[in-house]
Order: sequence, then structure tokens, then C-alpha cells
Amino acid sequence: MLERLYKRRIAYILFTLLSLTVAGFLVIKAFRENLLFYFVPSDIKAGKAPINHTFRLGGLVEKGSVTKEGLTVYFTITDTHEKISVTYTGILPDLFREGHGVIVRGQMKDSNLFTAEEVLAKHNEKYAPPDMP
Amino acid sequence: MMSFLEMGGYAVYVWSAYGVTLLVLALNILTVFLDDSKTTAP
Amino acid sequence: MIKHYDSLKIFYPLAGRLMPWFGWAFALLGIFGLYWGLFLAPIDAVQGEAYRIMFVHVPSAWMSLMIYAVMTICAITILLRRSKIAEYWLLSSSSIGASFTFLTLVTGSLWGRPMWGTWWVWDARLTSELILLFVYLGIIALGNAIPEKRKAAQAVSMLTVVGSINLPIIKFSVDWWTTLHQPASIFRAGGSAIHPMMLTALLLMAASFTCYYFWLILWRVRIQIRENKQ
Repeated sequence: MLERLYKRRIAYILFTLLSLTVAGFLVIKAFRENLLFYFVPSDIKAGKAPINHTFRLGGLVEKGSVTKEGLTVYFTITDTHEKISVTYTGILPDLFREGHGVIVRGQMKDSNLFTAEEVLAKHNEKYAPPDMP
Repeated sequence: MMSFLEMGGYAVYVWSAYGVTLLVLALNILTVFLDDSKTTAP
Repeated sequence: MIKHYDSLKIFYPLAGRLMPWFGWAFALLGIFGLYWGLFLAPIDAVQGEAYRIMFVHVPSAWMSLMIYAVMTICAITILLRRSKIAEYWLLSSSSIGASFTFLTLVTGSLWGRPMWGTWWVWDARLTSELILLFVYLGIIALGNAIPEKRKAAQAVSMLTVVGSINLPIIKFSVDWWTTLHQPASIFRAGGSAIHPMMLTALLLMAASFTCYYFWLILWRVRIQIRENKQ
């Protein structure tokens, strides 16, 4: 009697775990397709980004591309394959550097200039003092 | 010492982070301590 | 049943003997960790002094996941067989887990504001950690909603097992999706990307927080054993 109850419990748990794995798999699949936090320049060139709406664009700030006119900044975001020019008016976050990651939110107001409403700096996984490479 | 407290201009963020951590850890200890004294009392 | 009470009889004094060790280890490792993190570890080349927030943020994040993993083991044990220790351990863990999840979110936010330029974004890492906080809160609520300890533990076990699906999602969110949050620094292909002095401070704090959890959980389980005898 106890033996049977025990077996049934294990069966229930295995069933729960199995359905959870399936559910989790589906969530992951859905997330992968729809919940990307940002697009990269190659996506825009390939027509994958929602050009007519506000969206996020991410990549590296190209070295030597940053120019400032008062509070307005111009720079280029690259994913090493494609580039997009960006303009932004406002205060930049402290981690905003040439050659470092950045994520901007805004619209492609004309076909080759992205107008950003928000600039977020992306940190990489490296932690090191200044004299380290 | 002053420059240590200033944290390179990030004092507000750094000390708030350490402060809230210590506060929450202390509150947890306090809760358990109060529970304990409730049950050991006759 | 006799066997069962025996295990409580062994556990109670053993936990009592271990508690002070964990308590003191928490305090000493914590003092060392804070000293190392605030004084010995060098400044970061890119983030300046603000990076020191990670010495409380990263260990809190690890604890939020580890405590949930321990709770999942308790939950599976409870679903398979009767174990009072597992029941007490499970019910007592959730508020400590929720505390560390809360700390992860708050200290992360305090780092994100100056570094990223925002307190919060809805990226996969931040969102899944927020879901973890709500799972913890749900577990606390459910545990308190049912007055009978055994039934509460059974219900909480179910919810805990269901919620455990979130753990791998949190851990791998930074690899599976594009996120604002940076990828893992220590457990990554190609080895750790953290300077050894910084890593030492991080590990000391993590060890301290782990001892803190075991100190409080043993204490809480002992209280529950006493309460149930009365």
C-alpha cells in the first residue's frame, strides 16, 4: 500500500518536471524570437528592425566617431559588419566610451540617421585596474 | 580618508548599496532573534 | 515514526553546535571581505570606484539563486517522503531568499543609474530576477496562508518545484538573449575576467553571505522544532 503511494508520488513529480521542461522550452523559444532587448546594425540593413517604430539599437561606439556640438552628440554604432549613425541630445552615462558597448532607444527618422531619445552604456564582463590590458 | 568616503564621486550610490545591504541583513537577524526569545520564554 | 523523531533529536543539538561557527564565520569573513573590497582591491579602469557595488551585488545574486536551489532540494524531498527537517528548512528559507533577491535588485539599480544611465530596464536578466522575487513572495504568502505546517509545506513544495524553472533562465538569460546586463565574468569560457584582488574580495563576501544563510536557517529550524513540541 505504502509502496504504491510512493510510486504514484514519484510518477506525479516526474510528470510535473516533464511538463515544466516542455513549458520552459516553449518560453525560451518564444523569448528567443520576440524578446530581444535590442537590434544590431546588421538587423537594420537586413530589414529585420521595426524601422517605423521606436526600437533599441545596440553595438559598439566606433572609435573616433564621437563629435559634440554643445549637448548634441553624433557617433556611429557598429557591430563590426555594419554601421549606423546616431544623434542624441542630452547627458551621456558615465560608461559611454569609444570602443565600448552602447544601447540607444529611438527611431530611424531618416534612412541613414538614428535619432536617440535615450542612451544606455553597456558594460562588458571585464573588471581590471587601469594598468591592466 | 575624505577621498575614500567620496568614492570618486559615486559616494551616494556606493554607500547606499552597502547601507541597504547591512540594514537588510541586520533586520533578518533581529527577526530571528525576536522569534527565538518568544519560544524560549516559559 | 520513531526513526523520524530520532533524526530531529540528532539534528537539534547538532544545529545548535554548528550555529556559532557559522555566525562567527559570517562576521569574520564579512569584515575581511569589506576591508578587501573597499581598501585592498584596486580601482576599476572603466567604472572607477562605482564598481565596488559589485562586492555586495554579485554575492547577493548568487545567494538568491543558491537559496532557491536548496529550497528545491527540500521541496523534492518533501514530495517524496515525510521529513520535518526539510519542511522547516523550506518554510524558513523563503524570507532570507527574498531578502537577497531584493538586495540584488536594489544594489544593481544603484550601480545601473551612474554606469548604464538608468535605474531599470526590462531586459531578460533583470526581468527574470524580478520574477524570482515575486516567486519568493508567493511562497512566503502561501506558507503563511495555510495554518497547518505539514499542509503548508506540501503546497509550498509544489510551488517551489514549479518556480525552479526560473533558475536556469536567470543564469543563462545573458547568453540566450541580448540584454543590457553584462555576461558572466567568472564562470565563463576562457577563464575569469576579473582581476585576482577583486575576485578575492568577491569570494570572501560570497563565503560570508553563505555562512549567514546557514547560521540563520539552523537557528530558524531549531525555533520551529521547539515551537512544534510545545
